[in-house]
Formats: sequence, C-alpha cells, structure tokens
Amino acid sequence: MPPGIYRMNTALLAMKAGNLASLETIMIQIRMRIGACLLVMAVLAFPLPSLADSADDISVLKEQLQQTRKMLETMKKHLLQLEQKQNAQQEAQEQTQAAVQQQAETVADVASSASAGGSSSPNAFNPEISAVLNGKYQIFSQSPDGFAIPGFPMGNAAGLDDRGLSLSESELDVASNVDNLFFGSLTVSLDQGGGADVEEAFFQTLGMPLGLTLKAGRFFSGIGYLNQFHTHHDDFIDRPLPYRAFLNTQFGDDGVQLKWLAPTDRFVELGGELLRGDAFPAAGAAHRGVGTWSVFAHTGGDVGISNSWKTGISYLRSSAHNRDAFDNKDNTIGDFSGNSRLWLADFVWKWAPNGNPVNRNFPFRVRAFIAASMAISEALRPLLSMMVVNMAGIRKAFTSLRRAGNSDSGTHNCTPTTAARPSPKAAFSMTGTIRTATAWYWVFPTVNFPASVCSFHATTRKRSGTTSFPCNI
Amino acid sequence: MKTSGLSAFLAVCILALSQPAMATLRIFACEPEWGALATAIGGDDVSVYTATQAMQDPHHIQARPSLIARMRRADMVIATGAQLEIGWLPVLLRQASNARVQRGQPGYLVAANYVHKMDVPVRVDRAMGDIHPAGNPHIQTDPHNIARVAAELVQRLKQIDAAHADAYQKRYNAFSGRWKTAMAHWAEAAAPLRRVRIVVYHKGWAYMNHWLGLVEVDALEPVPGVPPSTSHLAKLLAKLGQQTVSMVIYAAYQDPRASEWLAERAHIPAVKLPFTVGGTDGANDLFGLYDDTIKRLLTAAGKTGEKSAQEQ
Repeated sequence: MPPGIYRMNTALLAMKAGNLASLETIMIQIRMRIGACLLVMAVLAFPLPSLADSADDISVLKEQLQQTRKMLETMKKHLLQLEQKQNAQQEAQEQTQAAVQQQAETVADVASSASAGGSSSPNAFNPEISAVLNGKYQIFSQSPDGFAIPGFPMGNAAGLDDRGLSLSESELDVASNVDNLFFGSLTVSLDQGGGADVEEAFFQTLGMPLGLTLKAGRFFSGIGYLNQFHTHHDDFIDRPLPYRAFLNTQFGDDGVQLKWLAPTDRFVELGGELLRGDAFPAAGAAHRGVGTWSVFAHTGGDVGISNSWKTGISYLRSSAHNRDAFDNKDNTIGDFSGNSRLWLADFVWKWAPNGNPVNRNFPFRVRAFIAASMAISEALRPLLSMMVVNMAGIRKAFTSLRRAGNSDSGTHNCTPTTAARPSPKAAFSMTGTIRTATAWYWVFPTVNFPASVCSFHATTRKRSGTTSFPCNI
Repeated sequence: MKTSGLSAFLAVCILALSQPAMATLRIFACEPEWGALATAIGGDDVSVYTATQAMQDPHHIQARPSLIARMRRADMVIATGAQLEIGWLPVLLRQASNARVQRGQPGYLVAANYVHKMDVPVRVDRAMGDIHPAGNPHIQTDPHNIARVAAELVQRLKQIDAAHADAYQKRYNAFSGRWKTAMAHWAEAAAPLRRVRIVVYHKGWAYMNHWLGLVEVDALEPVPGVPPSTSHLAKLLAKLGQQTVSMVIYAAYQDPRASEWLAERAHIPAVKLPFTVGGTDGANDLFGLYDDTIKRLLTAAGKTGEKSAQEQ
C-alpha cells in the first residue's frame, strides 16, 4: 500500500478520536499531500516522448493517474468534513461562552450585596443589610448632670451622655429596591439601654417624571446639610451645637417630602415637606396631625477637579403643643406650647487633591441658624498635621450672640411659674476638618499617624441677665 | 381674560419644564475609559460627561452635587459594575430622579456583564479585604474587554437612538477595525514582556497580566484596599531577595511612596501606569492608553535587563 493511503487512515483514525490539535496537523499534512499529488498529476499530464514505445507503461500510468484522482477526491471530501467539524466545534465553544456571559449577567444584575449565593439562591433578592456599632469614651471637666444650653430649651437628645466608657446607639439598616418604581429603607436604632426605636422607615420613588422625587414615611428632614445624614457618618462625636439646640441633634418626623431637581447642569434642588408634628421643635401632633412643614433649596457645583461646594437655605415652621424641655438627667423642667419658626443657611466646601480624598481632604462646613449678618469671632487658622484629641467638654467654646433668627412665640411654662418672654435666639457654628494621612515607611520603628483632626466650634451663651429659674430658657 | 392668561402661563411653564428635542444623546460615563469609548462610537451624536477622572481612586469617590445634576438629564449611564461603584452610584441613581437610566432599563449599561471576569472569589469575607464578590472589576486593563463592551455599547446606542443607528454602526465598524489592528500591533510589541515577573501595588492588573503574560508575584497591599504596612513591606523585601522581580507597578492615582520605597531597596524600577484614559500624558485616548502602558512596561523591563547584563 502506498504510504499516502496509510497516512489517510491515520488521519481518519485521529478524526474519530476527536483530537482537534492533531486534526489540524493532519489536515496540514493532507493539504501537503494533495499538493504533491497535484504536482504528480501535472507531470503526468505532459507525457514524455521517450516513453511512447511502451503501451503497457502508459496504461499502468493511466491507471495510477485514475487511482490518484480517486484518492484526491476522497481526501478532498474528508478535508471538507474535517473543516465542517472544526467549525461546528468552534460554534459550540462560542455558544457556551455566550451562555456563560449571560449567566454572569443574570448573576451580576441581582441587587444584593449581602448574600454570596447565585441567581438560583432564595437569598438573591434579599435587601442590603448593614449594622453600625458605636462606642465612646468621654471625659468632662465638670459633671454632665449640670449641663444645659443656656437660653435654649433642650430636647431629650440634646444633652451629654455619661462619662467614661459606654456603648452608643447601634443601628440596623435594611434597604432595597421594592420594584422598578420604589426604593424602601428601614433603620432601627437600638440604644444602649436596650430599647429599639424606628429611626427611619420610608419609601422613595425612583423615576418620577419631571425630576420629582417623593419620599414618604419616617425620615430625617432635608433641611440644612447634615440633618439627613446619620450621626455615625459625622466627622465628630456629636453634632454641632446649633443642631443640638434647635433640632434636638437631628430632626426627623413622619410625613411626606417632595423634591424637584432642576434640569440644568448646575445642581439646583427645591423641596418641601409636610410632617406630623411630633418631633422637636414640634410636639403633640398639632393641627390634626400635620403640625410641621418646611421648604428648602440647595445648589452646588465644582471648582476645578479638586473642589466642590454646596449651599442651601431652609425654613422650618412647627407647632408645638406641650413640648417638654429636659435637663441633662432627663427630668422635665418645663414645657412650651406655641409656634416655632427656624431659618437655616448652610454652606459646605470640600477639597481633595485631584479629587482623590483617600490621603488628604478638607471639608469645611458653615451653618448659620439665623438670617442676619455673621461675624466670625476668630479667624480659621489652618492647622496641619496636629494631633488633637476631640473630647467633649474640654473643647474651648467662644461666644457670639446675634439678633433675629429662631423665635418661639407662645407660652413657656416652667416651675416655679415665672412666665418669661424668651428673647430671640441665634447660633452660628463653623467646623473645619483637615485630614491628612501620613505614614513613615521605616522598618524600625513602626510609626503610623493615620489622621489628624482639628476643629473650631462656636457656641452661644446668653450675654445678659441671669437665669433665675430652673428652666434655663 | 383671566383664564386665558392663566392657561398661557401654564403653557409657558410646561414648555419650560419639558425637554426640548435633543440633538445629542447625553451619556453619563462613570469612568474615563467608558467616556472615551462612548466618544469614539458616538462621535458628534452624543455628548459625554465623565463622572470621575484618572487621578481619582475609583473605589473612593465622594458624590458631588454636579453628578446628581448631570445624571438627571442623562439618556444613558455606562458603569463598570462588579460593585466598583457601589459606594456612590446607587445613591446617585436614587437621587437623580431619572427613570431612563434605572437598573434594568436599556439606558443602564454595566460593562462588566459583557466580559469574562477573573478573580471570582470562592468564599467572600471582609477579613479578606475589599474584594468584589463578582470578580475583579478593573476590566479596562485588557483591550479585548474594550472590544467586547464596544460591541454591546453600539447595540444599546442603536436601541435608544434609532435615528442615528447607521452612524453609530459605521463608527463602530471603523473603530473595531482600527482596534483589531492595534491589538495585533500591541501583542507583537509586548512579546518581550511574556513571563516577566512583577510586583503590583493593588491587585487591579489581573486582566493586563493575563493579556501580556506577566507573572504577578505579590502585592504591596496585604489585602486589597488596606494600605501597605511596614511589616508587610519588610516581608515583601525579604521575599524579593530570594527571587528576581523585574518591576513594581502602580496606577497613576495611587500614592507612589510605598512603591518607590520598595523599588529603591530592591533595585528595580517603580513604574507608574496610566490605568485608565488620562492617567498619564501619553494616555489621552483609548489607543494611547495601551500604547503608553506597553511602552512604560517595556522601558522598565529593558532597564532591568541592561542592569543585570551590566552586573554580570
């Protein structure tokens, strides 16, 4: 048997075995063989005159030519079959790849970061769950029992906590898209005493037309800048004093909020809220359960790639019916019934080199809970890389008292019954944080300064008169 | 008459609030590479806004008011996905009040869904650092992934903006042809980089290593997302004393100090790579990104080769 046919059988065997790599090499060999056969045929097509005398030789050559032709045709057929098989295999591979990609798409689209299960797991649609743990260590130069914000009635969350080591509020947050139209969120706050409190529980629309967003349920109001952020997001251990004095640290209530985002390249947002009127500075759900309303406007933009700013004004109008005032030991020392009007202006400036806040950034916040002119009592001195431990009570407070602003008009009752007309109150506060992370990459000694923080804080104090009654209003 | 005055006023309000017929499609790209890709395929028919730029750490973006305003009017959002933007994109989507770009809509394109993801962890635990359960999200370091995302992007563009479908397809065909040529050229140029051993700052180069055949020996971050500590660096230095490594690579947005510290002590070059469009002067578009990356890698590998030849 000529060696060509032996090769052919090997090729057929390899094809049956399904070895694609060897198929390729064998196909190349087959192609070479076909080329060789064509060459032979070309030679045979031109008969040489010196062989003309042997008729037998010619017939033998013709027979061989026919056989070679037959072999060529069979080889061509097999080559075609091999190519088809290779194409089929490639298509199958691509199909499986596409299927894998599709599965990846389904898995990736599942809105869950809590569960590591695949798309078939029953946990795939679980909401996002997060838990926030807080603890603190506090030192005060005086006993916190006597703490008061002179000139302001304190709500139940405006005072100082215990000295020493203590657990702060723990938070459980559950949030998820409800469907293509709504997003829902629940925040349960567990205080160190063991009570559970619903801090936020609301749904929010996702794509209402005309740039509107409706939020309904219990939520933190959109007035000001910091109010809608949870306190554990703050740079400092407690809220600025104006928030504590006017809004009982953080103002949130049950109700509805409607915001409109302007269709401009500059961020402009207008919003309004209708709330139940149970939360400080309101109380008692006046006006048949719609005791508080607010309006606010915010705008903001960028300056280059390293700076961005946001500013806003807000107005909160609340009706209080027997609103309690507390001392720092949670004793009720007075109550108030009437209306409260609060104007609020806020401004935030954030800087980070090239917009990358990982190593260095500087957020600067100013808030004025008044509408009149502001005078900065002390210029902000940039202090870099200073280790300052922020301890409540040891912070230096310096005063400024302004006219106009928050006015409570109504009756304050306190024991002994000395009705007093409260003077207009105002507060101005300014905080700046400079953060820079530095690390020395020495092998010895290992020293890391992870963060440096400095802050200024202005508080208010009644400038004239003495508080002769225990309500401290 | 009062009623006609009122209706005229209302008409003006409605006209003011309604969006005029858009000449260009607005695209909100979360990262610069998708912005560059959208510009390449969309051309004059789209106006692209890129939310972040190359010098920002894509894991730590602080949401700005301007991002909300831009997303409000976007017709399409292109995000990388695989939880790279999980810290800021969901909040933006909620606040932007734009139904066209919510999840599940054709206007919401997640690039990582159209590539084969690497480094998918078997087990997920925060003790392992900031790992992504869906796999490594830094898909833009391999040009094949750009081609795959481009194929999907042109389909979405044709779906959302059928009026310009022909133009998008033409531009995609032109881009695709140039891209294939470029990829062949890069594969040839980067052939000397096969089996070169490197140390990385952050494990963001998995796709590039797979494409170029680089061997990633170790990372400066002990676990992803945690900055290098002195003890880990000392261990790494000791390890490099045992085995040859050609270079330390870090991205343009990352702090170079740790990489330079290690490079100085191990006598290897510290290479800053653009990581995305705009990271270095040479990476001003998608083609430049890979040109510059390969050029820097080759220069660094060449340096080591020269040095070791000299030492011998």
